[in-house]
Amino acid sequence: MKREDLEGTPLKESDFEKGKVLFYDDRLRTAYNWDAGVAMGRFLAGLKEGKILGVRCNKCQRVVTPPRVFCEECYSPIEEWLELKDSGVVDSFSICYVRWDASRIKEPEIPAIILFDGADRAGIMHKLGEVDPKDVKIGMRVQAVWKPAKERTGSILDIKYFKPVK
Amino acid sequence: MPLIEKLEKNTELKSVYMEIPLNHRYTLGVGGEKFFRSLKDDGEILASYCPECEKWFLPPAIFCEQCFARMEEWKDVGLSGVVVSFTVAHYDLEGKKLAIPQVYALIGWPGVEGGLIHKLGDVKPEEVFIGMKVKARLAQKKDRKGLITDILYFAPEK
Repeated sequence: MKREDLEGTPLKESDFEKGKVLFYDDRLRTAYNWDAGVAMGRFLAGLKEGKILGVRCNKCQRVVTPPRVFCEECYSPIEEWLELKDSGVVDSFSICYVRWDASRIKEPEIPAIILFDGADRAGIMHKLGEVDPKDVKIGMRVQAVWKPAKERTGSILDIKYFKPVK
Repeated sequence: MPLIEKLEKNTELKSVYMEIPLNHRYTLGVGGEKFFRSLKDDGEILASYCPECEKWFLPPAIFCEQCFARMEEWKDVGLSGVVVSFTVAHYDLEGKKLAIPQVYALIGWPGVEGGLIHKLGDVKPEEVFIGMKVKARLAQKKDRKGLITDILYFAPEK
């Protein structure tokens, strides 16, 4: 079945530009303020200082980041905080030629899950940079590339991306 | 300790303020296009007729909402209608008190199903009553965009 055979009014971007149909563009207001909570709040405050903070469960001895106030495996409260290195390995990744808004890009974005050195298997989602997409491998060693200290706001974006290191 | 942590500086409280980009483009559809084109270009308010139900509908559509028959007969019902129902808003969308209360009304046309919800103007809230005759005040033709706001408001008809 061809597009022309379907009921309805096929429209192209140029039809809007030419004023073929009436339309309006609008946006929904979706501003929100997310309370980071105790553990994530401290983690974000650490990022502002250029530190990756993690926590250790004193019952099962797991070290994890992002931090949490209780251990999801043994339910014991977590009290011990420690600073981790800002390096780790790629646990999983994707090579994306389509952005979140469905637009196409030539230079792909490479979201990846990073496991930090000294932490057990729990990681953060971030992007890879300064790397040829063909060279990305699971287990690849990477290091955080930070924004300059004065530009950091206490956000996950205080890390620009992770780049490969030997 | 961890579940309830005592913070001594409120600057340590951390939250993340963001916005989800959520844009959309609305097209009016075949029936809506015809209705708003007439409003924009000719200053007319159109209704459509269902031959099965023998009823006029406003806003018009290409199918009858009650029996799904095609509606191919359309006519201009004119700018004058009556207040079917109304409410007086004292607060805006943000919850701020309005300096002047705004009357919103459902405007109907005799012998026509449905109607338009719009603002009333040139009238005090206490003067509005159900059954009041009102007339659409349109924007200047050059300012009309094919939107419901091409009708600025409905005002009492003397």
